[in-house]
Amino acid sequence: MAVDNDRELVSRVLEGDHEAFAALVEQYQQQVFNLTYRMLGDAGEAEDAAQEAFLRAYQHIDRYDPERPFKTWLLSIASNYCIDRLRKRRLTWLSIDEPLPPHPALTSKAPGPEDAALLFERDGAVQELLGDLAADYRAAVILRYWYDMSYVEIAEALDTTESAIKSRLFRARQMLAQKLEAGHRAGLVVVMESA
Amino acid sequence: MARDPFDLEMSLLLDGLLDEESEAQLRRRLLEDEEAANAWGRARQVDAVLRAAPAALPPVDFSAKVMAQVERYEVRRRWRPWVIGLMSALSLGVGLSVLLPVLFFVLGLQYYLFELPVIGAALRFAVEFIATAGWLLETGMRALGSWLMFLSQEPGALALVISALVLASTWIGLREGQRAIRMAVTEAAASHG
Repeated sequence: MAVDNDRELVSRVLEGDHEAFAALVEQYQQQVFNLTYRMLGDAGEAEDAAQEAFLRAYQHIDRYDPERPFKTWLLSIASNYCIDRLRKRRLTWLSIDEPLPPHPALTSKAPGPEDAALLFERDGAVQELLGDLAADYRAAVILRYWYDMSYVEIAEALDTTESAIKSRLFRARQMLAQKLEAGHRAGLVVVMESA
Repeated sequence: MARDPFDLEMSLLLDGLLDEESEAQLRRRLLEDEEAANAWGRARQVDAVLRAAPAALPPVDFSAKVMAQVERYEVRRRWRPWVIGLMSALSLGVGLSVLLPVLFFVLGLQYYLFELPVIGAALRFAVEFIATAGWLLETGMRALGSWLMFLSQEPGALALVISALVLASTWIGLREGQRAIRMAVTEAAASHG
């Protein structure tokens, strides 16, 4: 079972086994990178953030509670780091309202040029949708949609309550729906309708 | 401001968390309320797009980069106690090198040192030696200064000194030339012999 395997790897890391940590990185790199990319919207920044998340996990691995899934703990570190980063970005007036460039490396079964273009366009539209959400809301949406986490798991990962997550997801969806209604994103509507 | 037709129950329904009774009520409302039905339609569209969104892949060398960072961190962690120890020792050394001499003189410890038998004698000797050397140096410098002053004020004396120097250098040159000729002659005789 993956959880038992993770526990075994973590205990080996605690004994100083680097290979065990390399195995954890190998196992979760895609999930962590996807999270940071969806949160930050820029591939370069996402890579830095994902590396930082893994490094922090390594530095504080002695604080990991083996009763919790390692994945939740790791994604919690990554999402909280991204939330901090987005808040700092807002403070320095690097607007998150700017359109975010899409990432070219997308999971798909070798799409043809047209499919790839559509996927690329749709991904850009998704990033644009997410880009307008506050960092806390964005994290909740990402953990719900890309990781299929329950409200309880999201609450654990973001260190908040289940009702707060319920509220965040509701408000995030409300904002996204209003955005569609306002028709400000004509391109997005086209892409979504073609999806 | 008009009430937003999208509500918490719709959000819960999207996640499949609404109980049967509430879901039935909501579905009845959606049939009756056009605005609510439109909001529900848009929410489902957003939901569908987010669910269909692909996952981004990390660069191929991502894992290696992370492990390189971990390695750098380990090196820093291994050296940290030594660096901290060294920095502390240096800080302590600098602090003591300033503080000790100040304390030494402020507390008047130099007088006690002079009273000690061997160290006191050595210190007295050192003090006398430094004082004598200082006096000699000062006297020599003063004599040199006076002599230079005398030369600058007495042209006859200056001319005499310069003439003496010229004569001395000529004499030295002649002597060196004579020695060189003698050596050449000796070498020539040795090679012919």
